[in-house]
Amino acid sequence: MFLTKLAIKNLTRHKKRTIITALVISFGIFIFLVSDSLVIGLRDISIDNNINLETAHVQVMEQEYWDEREESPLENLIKKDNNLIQEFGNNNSKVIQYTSRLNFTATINNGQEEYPITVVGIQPEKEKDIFTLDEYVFKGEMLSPGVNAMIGKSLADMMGFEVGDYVTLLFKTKEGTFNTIDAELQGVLDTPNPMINEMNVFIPLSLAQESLNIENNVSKYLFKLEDRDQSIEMAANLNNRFKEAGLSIRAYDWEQMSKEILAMMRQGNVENLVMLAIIILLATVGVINTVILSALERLEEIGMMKALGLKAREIVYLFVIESAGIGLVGSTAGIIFGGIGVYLLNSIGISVSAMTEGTTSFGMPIAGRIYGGWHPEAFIFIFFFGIIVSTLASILPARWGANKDPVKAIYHR
Amino acid sequence: MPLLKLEDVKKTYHQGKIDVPAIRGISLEIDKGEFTTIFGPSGSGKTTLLNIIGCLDKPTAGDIHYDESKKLSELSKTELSDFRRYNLGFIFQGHNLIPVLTAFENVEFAIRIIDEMSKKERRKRVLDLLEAVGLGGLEDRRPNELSGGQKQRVAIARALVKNPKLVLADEPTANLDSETSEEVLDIMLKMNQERGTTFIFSTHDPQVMKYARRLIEIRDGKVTTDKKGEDLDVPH
Repeated sequence: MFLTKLAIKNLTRHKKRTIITALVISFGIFIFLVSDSLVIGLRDISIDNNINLETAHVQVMEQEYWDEREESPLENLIKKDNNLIQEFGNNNSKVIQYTSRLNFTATINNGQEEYPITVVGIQPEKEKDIFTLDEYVFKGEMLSPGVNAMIGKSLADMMGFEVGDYVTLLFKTKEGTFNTIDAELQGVLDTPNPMINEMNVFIPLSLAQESLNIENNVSKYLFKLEDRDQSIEMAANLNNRFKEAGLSIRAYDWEQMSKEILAMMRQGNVENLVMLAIIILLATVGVINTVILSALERLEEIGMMKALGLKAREIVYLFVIESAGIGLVGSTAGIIFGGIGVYLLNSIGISVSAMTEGTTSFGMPIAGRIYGGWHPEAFIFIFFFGIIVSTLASILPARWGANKDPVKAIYHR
Repeated sequence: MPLLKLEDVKKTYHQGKIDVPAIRGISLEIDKGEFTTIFGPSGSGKTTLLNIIGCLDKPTAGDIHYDESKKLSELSKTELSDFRRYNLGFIFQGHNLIPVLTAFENVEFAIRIIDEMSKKERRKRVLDLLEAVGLGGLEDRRPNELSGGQKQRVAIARALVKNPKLVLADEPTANLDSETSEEVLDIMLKMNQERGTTFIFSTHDPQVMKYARRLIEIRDGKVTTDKKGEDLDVPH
């Protein structure tokens, strides 16, 4: 206890050095917490954006369509009036709304140049209950039935389209013949998903089916549930029914449809590990430096203590407790700074479009501002981590000091 | 019965390929309660001899016995630490006080690491000793608030607080003016007479020799003179 008290008092010997070392540790902790918050924020925003703008909670499609869905083929479609799906959608209390979409590839033409895009046939009357596209109408209005189209801001800017202009979509039907749609541009979207802004043209589902000559077929059904946590259970439930009915269609939950994003989030976890490594490095270098300096300055004192009969391990203990104290101060400061950083990240956020001028979103469905997320476990973990690392980092230099020959230490030889 | 017995102790330092003999074979007996001065010029081997006696350094040859039984060459590092902890007191030239502790805490340090006393006993013993060395009322001062002489008194109190068998002082007055030196030596002598503590201290200052009750002169690592009592021709 006496040695512990002495170690704590020793922290006040060189206040500036103690503070600087603690600040180095706190800086590492701050960076970790902000980075962790950003990863969580990115994950939440990405998932929300993906669910609210693209995937919904559960999708139903032909198993073979699922494998090729990125190409938006016109093969392996499902009947829009599938009784089993409609019955499930209408009668399940957890389903808020369901709709169907028809995706196909085309080129958009402004009379001078053309650009490859994906056309999405939607049911405008149901869209509002499932997706939030209507919240991002930048110009004009939300798509309504008729020969209308709605495109993203990036695409509109690139092709020079204004609301009221006619957009020409050139595509191949299932039979391989070319067809076009000349639709009036009803609205321009500016969503948080850059892919939608750049690549998608929305038209009414009936117009898409009619133009493709595929009558009552759709690419997929999409379900919005009360809670995204119900998705897995609901998809499993649907799959059981499909199997029982001998159908080849399958239900997929949002996680299965967001694999790329989740993989990127795992990448974010790797980044957190890198941050941890940086903290270990900062704390280790800072603490080793401090302990060696302290030991060198206190050589005579170490010699005196050994002369009085203090054992090497007791002197090591003295330095280790001192370093733990520095770790405690650094961790506490890091938690405070990190807390402020995460709070600001949460409330103000960071403008992604300002950073990248809207040209990239790092492959994530994010544009505009990104906000941090709270992760209390990270605060608790990093607090103890900071203390443990600085404690462990001090052991070797402390042993070096404590094992000094007492005569050499006393007489500074 | 001697407290301490040195048998043909030798110490040689190795500086590269050169062997530097610091002690060239010293045999001595120190009785309990003696107040011994080791005198000699710089480099004569005084400090080396004190370090060997104080179990801080090991002799290259020869042996040391405490209380006629304990053979120091047979003790491990940990046993030597324990031996110092319970039996020896040290006073250094530079006092070596811990700057973040008060005078009281610096003295208490030596018995806190023994931890055989209650807090009340400990406090009484430290305060009594500080009073005895003339630092009554200054127990809450930190080293930077004390003069050189006062710091050395704290160091004396620290050396004595555990009632050691032997106190070793390496040039305890080297950094002090003559008046303060006399005060410090007076205190050491008083403690020797009142408590019966055995003191061995080194000096190269002829002014300090008047305090000697036994004078051992060392030159080139050998004892050249060993006088005590009436044989001493220094005024007492």
